[in-house]
Parts: sequence; C-alpha cells; structure tokens
Amino acid sequence: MFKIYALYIGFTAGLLFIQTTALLPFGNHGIRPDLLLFLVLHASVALPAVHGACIIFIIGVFFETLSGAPSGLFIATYLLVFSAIKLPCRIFNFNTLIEMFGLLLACLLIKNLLLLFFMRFIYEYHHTYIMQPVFREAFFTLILFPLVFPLLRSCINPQHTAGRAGAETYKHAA
Amino acid sequence: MLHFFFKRKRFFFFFFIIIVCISLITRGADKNRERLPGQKALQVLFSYPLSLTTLCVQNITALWTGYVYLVDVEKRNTGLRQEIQFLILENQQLREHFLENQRLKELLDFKQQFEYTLLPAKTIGRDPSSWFKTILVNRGTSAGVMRGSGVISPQGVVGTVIDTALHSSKVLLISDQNSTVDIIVKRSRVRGILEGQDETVCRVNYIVKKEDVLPGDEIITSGLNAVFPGGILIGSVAETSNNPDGFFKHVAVAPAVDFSKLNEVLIVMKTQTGTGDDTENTNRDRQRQPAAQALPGQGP
Repeated sequence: MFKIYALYIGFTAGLLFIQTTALLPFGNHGIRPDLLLFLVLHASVALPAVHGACIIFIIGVFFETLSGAPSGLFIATYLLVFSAIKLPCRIFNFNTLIEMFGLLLACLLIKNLLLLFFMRFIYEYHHTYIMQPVFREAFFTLILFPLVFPLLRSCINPQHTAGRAGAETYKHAA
Repeated sequence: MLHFFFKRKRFFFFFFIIIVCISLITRGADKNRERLPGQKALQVLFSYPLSLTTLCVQNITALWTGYVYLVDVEKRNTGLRQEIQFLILENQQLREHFLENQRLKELLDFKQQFEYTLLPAKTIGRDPSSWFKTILVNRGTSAGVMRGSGVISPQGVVGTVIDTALHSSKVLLISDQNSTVDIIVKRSRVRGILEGQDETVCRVNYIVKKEDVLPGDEIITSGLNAVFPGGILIGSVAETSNNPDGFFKHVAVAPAVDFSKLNEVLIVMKTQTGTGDDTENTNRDRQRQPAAQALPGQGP
C-alpha cells in the first residue's frame, strides 16, 4: 500500500510541477490543462473508497500548496468529484480508454459546476469573467487525456503493485 | 448499534466526506485563516525544483541571447546611445521638478506616505488552476517578504503578496477578481478602486458618472493604502460607458503589465512609516539600487 501512496504522491508532484512551472510556453498563453484530474479519475476507478479518499485529499493539499485558491476549495471539490464518480464505478465497469474518456467528461462537468457554485455563492466571483479560461482548461484536459492517462494506468496499477494480498482486496473493492 | 453502522458504512463514509468538504469550504471562506498544516513545508519543497528549472532555462536563454543572437548589435548600440542622451536631458529636468516638488511639499507640510525598499524577485511558477490568477516568486520570509506587500515591475503594478513560505511567495495578480487597488486617473485625478476582471482587462469601480475619464487615460496608484508607492502605472483606460440605472461609470482598464511574459518583479518592502523631510530622497536612492541590479536591461 505504501508503494501505491508513494506512486500517487510522486505523480501528483510531477504533474503539478508541469502544470505550475512558468517556463513551459503553453502555460503562459492560458493553456492550462488540469492534469491532476487524471489522477483523481484514476484513483476513483482503481482504489477502494477509503484509500481513494485519502489519496484525493493528498492531491488536493498538494494542489492548494501552489495555488492561490482559498484553503480547502480544491480538496473539497476533488473529494466531491471522487464521491460522485465512485457511485457509477460500483455499478459499471470502466475499462477501455473511451469509457474512461466519458468518465473524464463527467468529472470535468461535476468539477466545474461545483467550482462555479462555490465561487459564485461563497467567494462571490463574477462567473461570466472566468468562463473562458475554464472552457480552455477543460478543452486542453480532454486533449491531453489520451497521452497522460495510459501512462498513469501502466505505472500505477494497484492490482500489480500491491502484491497478491492487495490484489484480492482491490478486486473486491472494484 | 455497531451492526447498524457497518451495514451502512458506505453511506456513512460518503456522509463523512460531505461533512469534511463543508467544513473545508467554510474554513476557506475566512480569508485570514492560515493554510492547512504542512502546506508551507510543501511549498518550500516545491520552490527548490521550480527555482532550479527557472535558473537552468534562464541560463540557456542567456547563452542564446549573449552569444548567438548578436545580429544588429552595432545598430542597436548606436540607437541606445542616442536614447541615453535624451534620457540624461529628461533626467536633469525631472530632478529639477523633483526638488521643486519637495520644496513645495515642505511648504505645505505634507507627510510622506511610507518608506520602502524594492526587493527583486524572479517568477518561478504560476497558478496551477485557471480559476485564480496568482504567480509564485522566489523570495519568501527568509528575505523579509510579508503578506500584503505590493509587487511591481518596470512596466507597472503586478499584484500583492497573499502568502509566504521560506523561499517563495504567492502573488495575487491585479487581474484576479479578488484583487483591489486604490487608483487615481493621472490626467483628471479622479479616484477609484481597481478590481480584476479577466486576464487582459480590469475594471475601475466607484467612479461617478459626471467624472472626467476618457479612453487612453493612464491609471496610476494613489499610494493611499500603503501597499504601493503612489504614481506607479497600472494601465490605461480601454473603454468607458455610463450605466443608465446606476450612479457609477463603467471603466475598463487594460493593464500595462503583460502577465504572460512576467519574469522579474520587484517586491515593495515597507520599512517604516516616515514623516521626515528627507524620506523621499532615501526612497529614491534605495529604489534605484536594487532595481538596477535586479533587472537586466533596466540598470545603467
């Protein structure tokens, strides 16, 4: 289990670094995909609820460390996205990349609706002015999905990483 | 009782998550609340690779601009020499105006706003989300940066420090909706409050309809909130219109700073409140030294 946590934390740090660094020219022109959402999606599908929630909490803490967002906003949003995705994952099997892509669309929709709600009614932002960068973010997240997600899938596979005993646990959890 | 909980453990688990989320959101709504424990340490950890990468790329860029990109140097050199001559003349005139201004201030017994020094810093990161407009700079509490310090660049006002760690700080850009700056329209001296809108436009609030504000007018800091020194350029008025139902004018401002190309900034370090007569001189001298050293191309 420690190895899985370490892998998730490592990937979170790596993806966050790519997302944050001011040196990549695409980021300076408003192209900011939410790479951590891939990890949220992966953890929702691959991990049991308790471990998944812990990982999502860690992802949220990492994200907010470098973001100017109010404390707890992204942790709460990612946890709620995780909870919303976990429910259909109990009923349906999401194995292929296309099915995962559909799930990502749902993730993006839920995340942006939640953030929009929080920003509008709790932090009093004018939503009309933030819609354009948000659409851009969603668009580039979708574009990068086929490149990043298979990599995550091949590197973090709880059924392989956790050993035989762990594999049984995850099989039941999934 | 225990059986009841175990039977519905999934429900209670998600209920617990929702409770955690609500408490986190409520906690975050308090702007003065500190971050979660451990986040400052994480920021310190992140600042090292981010600074290192920035340094590497800047050195590579410097190699390119220093050795390879030397076409037209002679031509540019001649042009710059001519420009220096003009600037020397302009500087002499400005010094005269400055001394005159100081004498008049003494006559009127004006009090100095605040004493400050400028600390150069480099941008090492930007906000990972599109929802907020912040940048990370490579100076933190170890350099004496405090929450609430103003951040400027040679082009104009950049933002305010909202969070500090040991070797890095988060700067809220003026283009963020959470940001407010007390401003003056340079030509007509009309006052207002600048608020962020989106990446390329800010808006000025609380300017009454009858006030004289025209497109193209320069917007500068008022210096009244003790965050920014007065007279620093913020941007220019892009558009004005009158709201038929309201009291105030709609004023859109294009920021002078291009936030996508922001590499070096200057943090306004408030030293102490000064009321002495010679404070302006010390400000001017202090301001020049670090600014000239920090920004390549800005020095003599």
